[in-house]
Amino acid sequence: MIYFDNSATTFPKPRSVYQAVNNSMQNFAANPGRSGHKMSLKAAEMVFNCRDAVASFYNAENVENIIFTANCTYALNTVIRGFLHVGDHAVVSDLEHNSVLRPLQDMTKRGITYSVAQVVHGDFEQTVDNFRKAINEHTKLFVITHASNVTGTILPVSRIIALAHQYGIKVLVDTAQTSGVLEIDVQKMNADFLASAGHKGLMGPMGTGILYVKNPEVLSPLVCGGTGSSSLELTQPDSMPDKFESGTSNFPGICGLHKGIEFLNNTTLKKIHNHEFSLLTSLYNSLSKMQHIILYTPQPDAEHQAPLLSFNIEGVLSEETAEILSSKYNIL
Amino acid sequence: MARQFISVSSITYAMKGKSILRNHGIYADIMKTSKINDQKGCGYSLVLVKRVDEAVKILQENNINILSINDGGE
Repeated sequence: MIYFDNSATTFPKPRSVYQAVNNSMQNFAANPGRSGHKMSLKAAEMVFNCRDAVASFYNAENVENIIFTANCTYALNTVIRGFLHVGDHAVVSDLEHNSVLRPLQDMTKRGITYSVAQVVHGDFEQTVDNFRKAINEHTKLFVITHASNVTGTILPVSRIIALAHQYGIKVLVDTAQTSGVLEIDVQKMNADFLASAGHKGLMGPMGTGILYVKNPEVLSPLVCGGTGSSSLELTQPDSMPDKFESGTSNFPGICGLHKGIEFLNNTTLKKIHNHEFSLLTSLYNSLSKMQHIILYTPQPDAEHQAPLLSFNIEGVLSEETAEILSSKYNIL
Repeated sequence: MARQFISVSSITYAMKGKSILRNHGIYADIMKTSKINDQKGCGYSLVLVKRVDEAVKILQENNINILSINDGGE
């Protein structure tokens, strides 16, 4: 089998991920942060260790600035819905996923507006300029993907953030396609919020997502409820990460995610990126020699493209192409 | 020696505090504590038998929000 669908979810995972999920379910799956017995405390310690590993992976200032979510969509919604207020305006790129566009579109019913800035593949200058032109006096948030989930086009994230901060605008970066592939340092990048999926490049199980929040006080929680802390109070705790982590966490998923990140640290992102980019280049070169193949990006270069490729066949629907590759050639 | 309970606002801060103290050579246990230490309801405490003042200072220097310090009624 050849697996091409890593932008949807990576497969297979490192063996240590499967073992961690299994081990946590069988031996430690008490409710972390809810009880005082030794198995619950052990589970809480394992969650903390994963949170610590994630904080180090992204070079976050504090471990408590890392929030575990159900997926990247949930993390993006937490910021979009928790930060914007009536009258606010947001700017997004034209490469955003529906996990960004749909909540924003939904919020237009509640007095939020947004604009779309065009990303020019390979031209960082023009892309930044397009974001500048989209700003108005009500702009409070940029939401930008680090790299497109369709074409792999990389956005000049640090430069867009620098632009936004000149105007007092916060920036949410969607790293679903780049976490585990490109180096990400939230302090160097100066991101206000960063969202990621745990089950793609980070090699964790599905049902895991990550949200980094630099200043939690600017954000309201998407969901309120039990946190295992301050239980006699009706108000949601302000302490981190409890403010944004109501309800029982995905403990087996978090244990698996920790092993996924350990795998990345041991392998190194540089090695992973070099390997994936050589596969991308080889595939691109082969496909570009074939008649009737449509490629959507220019010859890949590492500065402007994440190792991700879309192609199609002239006159054939993409779903049909996928079906033929799957049923006849075991290419998924 | 009597145990001292340093109550913090979340299990994450308890784990973080324990880790920071360990780096300073101070060993603390974590216990779930209820109304004894935290008027807001259940929470978690770092439990120490010695070097408590030093531990409190280290935790404060590392921005760990301490809710209360007491002997847990022992």
